Amino acid sequence: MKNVSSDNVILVLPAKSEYVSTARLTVSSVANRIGFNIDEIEDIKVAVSEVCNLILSKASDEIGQYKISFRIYKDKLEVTFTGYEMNFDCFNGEIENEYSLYIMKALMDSVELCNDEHSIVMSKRIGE
Amino acid sequence: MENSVLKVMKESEGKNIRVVLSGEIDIYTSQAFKNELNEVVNSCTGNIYIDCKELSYIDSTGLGILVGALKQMQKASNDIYICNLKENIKKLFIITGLDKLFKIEE
Repeated sequence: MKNVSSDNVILVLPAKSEYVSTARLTVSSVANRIGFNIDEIEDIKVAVSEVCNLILSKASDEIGQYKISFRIYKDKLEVTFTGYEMNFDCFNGEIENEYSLYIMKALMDSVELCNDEHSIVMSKRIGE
Repeated sequence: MENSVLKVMKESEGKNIRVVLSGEIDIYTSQAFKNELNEVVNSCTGNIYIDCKELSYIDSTGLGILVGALKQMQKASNDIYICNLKENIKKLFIITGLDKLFKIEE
């Protein structure tokens, strides 16, 4: 766990469905790196993928790329999704697939679908 | 990335059809899955058994497709059985309450 308390990994993806698996692979690697167990990694992977789906379902016409930031704290991983070189509109109350929301909220410790910076932010603590 | 490729195999068992899934169902592969499953739903006069032994991942898009297929099947008083779920996928069925909607078989 040395030297990982404030690291940040950033991924920029085209808003295309074929790249969602890239987000899953990346977050799996980051989560494994900082000590999450296999079940927790699976949870985070699923939740990240659901947010990508949400972004793609809403924004593919208007957003060409989006940025996923994986910020590594001592005790948690925080994942932030923002539009790349432009803002998302907010996502509150616009989720067509209700399963998606259930899954995200059940698997992560916190999920914020629309913060003040037009981002989606989710986090999970290590070792809980 | 070989394991992320979705494969759908279909086998008739009398009136029933067994659908064997392998790989991943996500937003990218979900349309292919939907097309394959619709074909089965439209041709099946019995129940559908979906074998998930080799299915490594499914997202809410895939779950939504399964629910759509189940509704179609139930119109004809038939059912969809979900078999051999891996623990990580069974967890999603429980979170979404779909474990109560589908018949889950070990």
